[in-house]
Amino acid sequence: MESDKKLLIDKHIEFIVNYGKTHDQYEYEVSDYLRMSGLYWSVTFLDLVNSLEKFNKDDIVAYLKRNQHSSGGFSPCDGHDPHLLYSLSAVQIAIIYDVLHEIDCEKLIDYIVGLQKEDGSFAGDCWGEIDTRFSFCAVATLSFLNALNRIDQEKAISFVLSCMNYDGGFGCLPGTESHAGQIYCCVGFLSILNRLHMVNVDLLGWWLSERQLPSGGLNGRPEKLQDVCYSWWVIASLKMIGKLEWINTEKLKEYIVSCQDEETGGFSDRPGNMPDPFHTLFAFTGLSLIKAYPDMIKDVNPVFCMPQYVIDRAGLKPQLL
Amino acid sequence: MHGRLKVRTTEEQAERKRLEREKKLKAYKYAMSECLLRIKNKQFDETGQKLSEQVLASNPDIQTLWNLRKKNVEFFEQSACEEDTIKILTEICLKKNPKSYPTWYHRQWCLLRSNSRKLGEKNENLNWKNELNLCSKFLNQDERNFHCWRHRFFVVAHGNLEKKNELEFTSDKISSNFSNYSSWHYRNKLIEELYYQNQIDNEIFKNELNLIENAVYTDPNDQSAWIYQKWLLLEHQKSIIKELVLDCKNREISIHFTKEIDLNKNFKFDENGWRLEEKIWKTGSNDDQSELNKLFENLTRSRHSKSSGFPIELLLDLNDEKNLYEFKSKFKMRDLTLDSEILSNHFGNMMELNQFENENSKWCMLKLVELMGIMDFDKYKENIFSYLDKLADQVDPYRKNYYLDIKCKLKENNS
Repeated sequence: MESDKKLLIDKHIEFIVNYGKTHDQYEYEVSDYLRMSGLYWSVTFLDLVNSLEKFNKDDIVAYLKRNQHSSGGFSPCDGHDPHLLYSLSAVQIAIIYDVLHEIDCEKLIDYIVGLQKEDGSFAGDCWGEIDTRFSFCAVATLSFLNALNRIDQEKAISFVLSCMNYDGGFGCLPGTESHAGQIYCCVGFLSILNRLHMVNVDLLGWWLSERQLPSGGLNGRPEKLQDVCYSWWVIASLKMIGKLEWINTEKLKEYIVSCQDEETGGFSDRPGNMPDPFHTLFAFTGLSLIKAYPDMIKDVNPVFCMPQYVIDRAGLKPQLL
Repeated sequence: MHGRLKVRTTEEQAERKRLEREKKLKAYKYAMSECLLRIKNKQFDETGQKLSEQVLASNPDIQTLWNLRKKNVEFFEQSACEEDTIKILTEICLKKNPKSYPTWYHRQWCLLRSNSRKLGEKNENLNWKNELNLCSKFLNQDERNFHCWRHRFFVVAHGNLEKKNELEFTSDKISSNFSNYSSWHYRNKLIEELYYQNQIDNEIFKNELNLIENAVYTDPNDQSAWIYQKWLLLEHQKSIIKELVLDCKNREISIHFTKEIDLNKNFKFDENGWRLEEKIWKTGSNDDQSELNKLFENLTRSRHSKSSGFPIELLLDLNDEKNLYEFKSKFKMRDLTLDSEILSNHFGNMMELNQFENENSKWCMLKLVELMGIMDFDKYKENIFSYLDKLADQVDPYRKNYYLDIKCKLKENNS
């Protein structure tokens, strides 16, 4: 139980709360373009460790409102263009704070519906880039807005299934290589639309379990290095298809804990690297999913990557096998 | 932040760095605010182009700036020459970050735009081969860069480039480094496609098994070729048809496919008749054998269909000429993978490799389990179970529960 003592929760909270203030200002400012997602990572982390009050709710609500565009979509920060990625992050934040009524949901629904293409795929924004990540963003956001019936679900499903590969995984477009992050998006997408039975569970589960390396950490593709964020993409997918027991979660826990920065707080991708909020969130959601510190970390939902109580409160029940 | 080592610095170094950063931050903030102002005011000009270029060269992931550049291109109806300068910028940015989503996409957007303009002006086509060279260059730096592979698919598709050359390309990539799952993946896609188009024949499978054997002899612990082998030997044994329902009364057959089928591609029926496993047959109420045979005869004589799209369920009305089409290639593929001589040869080689590895190679054992299952489950039952136990308990305990689950399943399915 030695590793139980080693999780420095207070330091990690401090790291997240002060990230914009103490961190290298240049680095911080030039990451403006993903700020809304950064906020989602931080808010979700704080909620999971019972510290949501560390952020000022009113400021966050104002930030959300300020970044919703007349098209209905959300931008990552002031003055930038809207995109599906940040629209999902914005709605996730709104759901965690239970302030959905503060944003214009009807306009957001129109924005997302307008991004679906003839073949069922979704563009990330008005410039037309297609990716299965955006299919996930679209249905995840619409499920929070109770508006899944507004898109052509069957076509959306066909498109995602056309990205399935011989190894049971999914790529970003038809024909492209399987990747754990993409698999998380596609399996999550099928879970939200109740179509997990379309997945080849034994094949995909096996491929995902092969992501675990001798260090206990997980990689995202064969013969790549382990990374804390992949532990989330892989185990959340395994959880959805009911095969989490196909890896060694005790070893995974040891690996994740070894990636915490004991000086500054925060987690990095691999031991000894620079910590950041992205890896800090996925370290904690990973630990939550394998129930490593149940007294310190709330349960996480594997599909939406948000606290389970929030998903329950929103009345959502994505399919799990 | 991926793969960034934490470096310790002296106070003096830190101070120098701080000043440097402060200067950079000031320049960034100025250029950024000027660009955002232009976006807000829908003001498209040379200054916006220059400033966005400056910022993107060191921060290629700022999508909004790429969007500003697209708006500029549209606003000025830029000529092909100026589009080339845009492409130069994306190359600079890709050197800075070869995994930048918005940079790769911006390049594709420009390519499509100039392609359609050139086609419109009836000029010569874009030089897609140059674009392919760019992909090869970036793949030389990182042969697993999936952004670059994705760009390669895009280039081959839009430039209508020869798939057989691409197959050659994957051969070169794989022989220079067997541990390149991305190449194996691409190879799978190419072979499936070329096979359906009758551009390659059954020889390819023998060839693929040789390639796999070379790879796993070189490094039996590398996953890449082993996973590919699973596709070659196992996935192809699954029929493409999941369920076939005959309605003899109405003279209709409905076929449910296991995956999406492009009916516009060359998908043929074997003259020798249906070669489907018994268990996937499902007949209607009137399952008189002679009636069935008559239906199949009709189907065998049938010709091409014009249906479009990607159905996964299809209803064949045998009285309707336009619904008739041919099936063939998938069944030939199945026949080959079941060629017992090739299979037992491969099995022998894997046994030998496992012995060479002191009977302790995880991947050899796992593959032997799969091969024995295909060849003759009853004969090898005990070996299969003992290998699975050994994998679970000694060789690969991290995935213990996987092996035990598979063992259970095999027992249930074969009891």
